[in-house]
Amino acid sequence: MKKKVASVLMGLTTLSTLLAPLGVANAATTPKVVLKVLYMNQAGYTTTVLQQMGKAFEKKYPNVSLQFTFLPYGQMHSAILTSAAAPTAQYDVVLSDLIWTGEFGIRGYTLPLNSYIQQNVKNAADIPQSIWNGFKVNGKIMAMPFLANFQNFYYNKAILKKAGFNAPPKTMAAWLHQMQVIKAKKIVQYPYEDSWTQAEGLVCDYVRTAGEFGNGNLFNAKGQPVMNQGAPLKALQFMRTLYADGLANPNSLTADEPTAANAFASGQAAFNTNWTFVTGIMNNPSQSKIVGQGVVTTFPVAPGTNRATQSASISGFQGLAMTANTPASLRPWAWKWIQFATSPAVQAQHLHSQWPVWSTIASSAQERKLNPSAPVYQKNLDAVYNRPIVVNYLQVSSIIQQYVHEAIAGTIPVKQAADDMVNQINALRA
Amino acid sequence: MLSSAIVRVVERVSVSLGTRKSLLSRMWHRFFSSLTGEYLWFYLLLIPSILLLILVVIIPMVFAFRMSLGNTMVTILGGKGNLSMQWVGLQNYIQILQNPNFWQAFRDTLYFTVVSLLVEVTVGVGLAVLMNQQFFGRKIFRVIVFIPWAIPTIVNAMLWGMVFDGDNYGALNDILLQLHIISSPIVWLNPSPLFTNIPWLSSFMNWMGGSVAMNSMIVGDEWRTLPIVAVLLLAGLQTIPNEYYEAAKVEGASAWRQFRAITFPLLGPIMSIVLILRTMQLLRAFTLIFTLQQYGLPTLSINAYQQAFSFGNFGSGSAISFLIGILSLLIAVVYINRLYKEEMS
Amino acid sequence: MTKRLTGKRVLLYACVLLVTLWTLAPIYFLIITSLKQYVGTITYPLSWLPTPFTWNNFGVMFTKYTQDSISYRFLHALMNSLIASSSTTILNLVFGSAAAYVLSRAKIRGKNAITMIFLASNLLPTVALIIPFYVLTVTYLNGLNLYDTNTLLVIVYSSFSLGLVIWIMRGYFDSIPLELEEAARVDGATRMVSLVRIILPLTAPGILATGLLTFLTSWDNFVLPLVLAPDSSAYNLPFFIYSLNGQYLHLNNEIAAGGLLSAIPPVLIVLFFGRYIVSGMTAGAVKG
Repeated sequence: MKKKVASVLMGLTTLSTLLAPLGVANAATTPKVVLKVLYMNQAGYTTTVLQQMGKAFEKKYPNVSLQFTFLPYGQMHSAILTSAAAPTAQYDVVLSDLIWTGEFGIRGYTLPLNSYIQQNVKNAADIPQSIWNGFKVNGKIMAMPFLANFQNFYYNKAILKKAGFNAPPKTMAAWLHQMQVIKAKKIVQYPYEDSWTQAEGLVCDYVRTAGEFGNGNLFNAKGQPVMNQGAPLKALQFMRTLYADGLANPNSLTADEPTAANAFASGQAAFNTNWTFVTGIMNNPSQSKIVGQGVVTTFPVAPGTNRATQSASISGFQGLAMTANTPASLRPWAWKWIQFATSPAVQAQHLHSQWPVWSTIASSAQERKLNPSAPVYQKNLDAVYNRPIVVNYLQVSSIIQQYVHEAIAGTIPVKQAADDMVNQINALRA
Repeated sequence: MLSSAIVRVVERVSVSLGTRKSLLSRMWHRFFSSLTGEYLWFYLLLIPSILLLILVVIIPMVFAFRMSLGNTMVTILGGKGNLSMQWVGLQNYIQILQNPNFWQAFRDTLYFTVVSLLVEVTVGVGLAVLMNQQFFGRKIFRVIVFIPWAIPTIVNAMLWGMVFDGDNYGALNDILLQLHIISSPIVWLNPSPLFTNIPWLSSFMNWMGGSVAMNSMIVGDEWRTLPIVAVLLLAGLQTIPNEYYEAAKVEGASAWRQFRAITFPLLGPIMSIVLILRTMQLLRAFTLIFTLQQYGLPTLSINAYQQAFSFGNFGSGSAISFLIGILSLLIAVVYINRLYKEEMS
Repeated sequence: MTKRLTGKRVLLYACVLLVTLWTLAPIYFLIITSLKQYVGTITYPLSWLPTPFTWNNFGVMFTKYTQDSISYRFLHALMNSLIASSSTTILNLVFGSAAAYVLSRAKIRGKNAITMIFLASNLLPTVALIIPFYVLTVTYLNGLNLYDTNTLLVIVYSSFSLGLVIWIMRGYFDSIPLELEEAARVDGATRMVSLVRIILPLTAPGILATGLLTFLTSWDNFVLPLVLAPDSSAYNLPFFIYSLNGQYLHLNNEIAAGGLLSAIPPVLIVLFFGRYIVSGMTAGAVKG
């Protein structure tokens, strides 16, 4: 027995020594400045692209070395919190979602970048105001825009044609009508699927729908929640109708964005309202069964919404931020990396993977060649609404998710759900 | 100089202790004598585990209690990260106990636990009895039945996510559609009410937390855990001497009577162990629900996780987790006491 | 009479068939999913054969090893899972058996209470410990640099298995007659020698059972790495599989492949040593 135990131990030791070299990342040279950078994997720029950017940066500043950490999006927020709790930051530069702007800005987990931007970014106006707004709280700019993600309206032109429509809907009423006809003609069982599971995606869809009805701001100028009146209330009623009339797939209530995209890419849904990634998926034969049939366009809007853009979308911007417990000696270098990674020159090199935040690049001939729908993208980007920027956004969001979900499912009447939502949020803020 | 001062202090203390001096010295004596000789070995062998217990259980629990009494969150002070624990007394607890969402989570957790246990003591016993029968291929059957228990929980969660997919690609929907049992796909993971045609039952079940999604969770969880329950119970069945049954047969007892008079009581000790282990596992179940439902089905564990790690409210997160801890410990003590009594008898 | 008996047999075999189907159907579904190309997972109606077929979902776990490839993350997760689980097992066996031996043999008052405290600690819900653990490691104990390390995971895993190890092992020690040990000591062996030479070999089945049980529990752990070690320096297989569920695509085929790979060690353990584990878990109730 003893021998057996010993041999097992030996085996384990050998195994771990054999595997050990895997763990040692290239730590051969140790430059003077080490910047720790937190970024997400499986969304936005790929980790490969980020590392390419990193290498270019290290080439430009040979005394700096970047240390990347890649986490799934779902782990990013708690990782930043973790970093902020330590005496010295675990990550010096982090990818910050715009929904954290309020929390990070007011609690001071990341640093305002106003002075850095004023001094170093000469063409700040080239980034659309709609993007800057996502990162501003009380006049402080909490992150430098890096990823310009937003939603587009996608439709399957083959299905529309079968139903007798040659053009996508321009108004909410027309959209509803097209869905009803598609359903009645049994071309597909459910014309639409959206990401209504109880998660952030549901809030995005709710804000966007409210925007399509004319106003996607869930809080008024005084900072009070207004979901129980006007456009947000109409939006909730509309979402309920889609579900109750069987126009939206019941699976929407448990679907997230990839699931909704799947339904569209498999040819089971005529419409999809989703982030820009769907453009890439729907025309990729290894990921889609509707190659050549998917079209991206602007969103239908209710008549009377006097927005010049005639569309309404939702923002999912992410920026680069500097954590507040980054040592003072590292801050200039942290900023240099932020400025480098977000610079027009670097973004122009990676147009194939992401929509650029800079207008001149977005409207460049190069982008148009890569992405024939660039003008549509530009229109939807100009028409984005932001989710509320408040200090306890994630808590507010979970209340919104809960009641919007119940309103759509019909367990609570729409108006009551909206009232409850407002009351709960007010109670939270008291 | 210093040592003489210490001696004087010690003398003072012993004098002031007066009458208790003899007791104290006796205790010292016993302590030292126990440290020497073979008892030294005992302490040396036991101490690492006790230290580990203090380090990884007791200190964190005490700290969690302290956090739960404060408005605990991460703050930055002068460029340094920090934890602020501004004292608020029992406010976190009061807020939690007044929050209807907490009680819904409590009922959800209870429903999940109780229904799962019911399934395990009925279907589990049935499966064990089945495995104990004589039939062709019994050996391989026992092996096959045991396999799901080895599948890691996260894989099980992902697997049942695919089975329960509410779209047309879901395996369960596909089977039911092909057998013409349903006409359109069912959204298995949606927390929608059951028995919608009987309003009072429907609203009661909903209040209890027994939604479609919750029952799907139970099915997915039981696929993985019924095997271990059944196999443990089978081990118990095999310890029951066959003569008992033969004697019962001679007396003409029916199969059901045999089961009630012999099988069930003699399975008692094993059943207790299964119940303890399973109750605790069910109360802390996290992975399956977190992966498939996240915040759509907020059981107590999920609730605590969300408060702490999503909202950054470590105070109320700790308070909830402390409440679950107390609840679990109470149940554990009741069970373990029962177990000890059973062992005595 | 014979007719009724055959009726019973038919019912019996029907039950056996049903249970086998119930057990194997999900596994079959997982296997065919792992052998499909992505489009095969969004094809309607669903195909119950692996079409369009590919080995690639398994292939990507081992090939094209670069800094941010799937194989890099998979192999690291595999290594971390192996290291953390086996370290936890060894630590628990050494400390736990030692403590169990004392709690079985020594005449200490309240040893039953101590055993109970250990067992109860093992039954605590994960979240009750994980929040303080997390906060302590990232704030007050930050200087120890424990966050995101296998060391931390091993320490925390231990808190969820030590109690069970002590409880089961104590049952095994209790079942060994005291006389056996005393006989050895009459022959001049010290307590330690008799423990190692005579008692431990007799409890070998118990050690095997608790060791494997600890290994399986540690291998399965998801929430602890999720909170305490999400970085690539320590994340384990369950966390790897969870993070395959990307933000843009649910690659069910890759998830299935990764899931099957990570299930191989525990399935092998259960197939070959299942009955030891069962007898270990029941040792407390059915002595001997």
